[in-house]
Amino acid sequence: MVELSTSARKGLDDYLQQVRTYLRWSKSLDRHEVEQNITEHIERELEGSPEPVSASVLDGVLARLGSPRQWVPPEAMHWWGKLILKLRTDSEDWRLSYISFSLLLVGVLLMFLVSPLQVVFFAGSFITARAALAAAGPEDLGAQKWLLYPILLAVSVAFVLTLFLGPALLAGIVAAELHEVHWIRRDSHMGAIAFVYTATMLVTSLWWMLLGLISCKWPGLIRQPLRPFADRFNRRRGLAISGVGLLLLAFLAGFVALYMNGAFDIFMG
Amino acid sequence: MNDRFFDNWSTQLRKGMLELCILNAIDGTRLYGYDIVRRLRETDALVVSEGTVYPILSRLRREGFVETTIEESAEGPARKYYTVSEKGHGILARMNECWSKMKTGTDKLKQEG
Repeated sequence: MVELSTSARKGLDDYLQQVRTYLRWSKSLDRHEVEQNITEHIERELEGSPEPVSASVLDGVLARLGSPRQWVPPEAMHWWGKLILKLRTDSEDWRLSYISFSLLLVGVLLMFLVSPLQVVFFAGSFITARAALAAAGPEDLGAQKWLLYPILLAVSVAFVLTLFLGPALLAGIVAAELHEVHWIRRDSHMGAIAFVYTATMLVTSLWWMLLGLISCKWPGLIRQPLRPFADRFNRRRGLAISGVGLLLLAFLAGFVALYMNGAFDIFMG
Repeated sequence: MNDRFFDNWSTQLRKGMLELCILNAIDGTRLYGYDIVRRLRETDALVVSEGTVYPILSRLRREGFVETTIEESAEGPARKYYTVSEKGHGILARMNECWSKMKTGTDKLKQEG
């Protein structure tokens, strides 16, 4: 073996590592045979060169050999080999997209095993998806969006449902419990259903009014967690949420007034 | 634009022709991998990147179109020599015939055009 300079040795090691990476996933090649042929080829090419062989001389030989990437056509690779190669060699943002989607798939598979671990995988998938989104920007996502949007959409829907309906659900549960308390049941002059309904609607309307005002003041609080789906959320939409809350409150006031006047007695006893 | 088109076209053509050229290079003789590359290199505009030859040799061997023999070398480690197998002779004849027809057809079209 000809003697190589330190930098040339490093260059050769890197090149052979690339050779191994690309040949590993081929269906129809004996990678040891190819690697041996390549090593011998390099040795023969370097014969007669002044030793230690410099990196520039070696680079000329490697340039004529070409990039191992072009040696194996995609159709000669296993599908999982193509996927792993993409992860290892594609640009950073695509790698993040593949990792995100893989974590999501593992999380979904774990759902069938009723394992709490799925939450960790979903969280990991969401975090990497957001990192990929930040790296590429929503306009330049291209086909990556098919890998990123499933987890982003799922988390966004869960976030919106929790944000808007979570307090209502909580209020309904608490109201049902409170109505069991004797003096509350007596003083409210309401049946259980009407009491729970009134409490739920009251909390919902007040919460939406407050949420609308907060998001009107700081629209980023809605935009950021829901990226890229709420990128157009602005102050006007925050006010609209407050408006809907106000309408609900007015509707509730009407309901309570009618209820107290016995308009629903026929339905609620 | 024209250059890029020509580059793509000639690269595809070379890739498609390389297996035929390798088989022809070792038909009736047996060559060491590096010598095959050298012979192809002598044929101008044939090899896109020299490394491409080695995976093709490996694939042809796995398909049974070439056979290998290992011999000790005075200059270094044992060398692997490649030659066309019996099965390879069959496919090589068909490939050469196909190429001949394509070349004749292309020449005919060029003359008539």
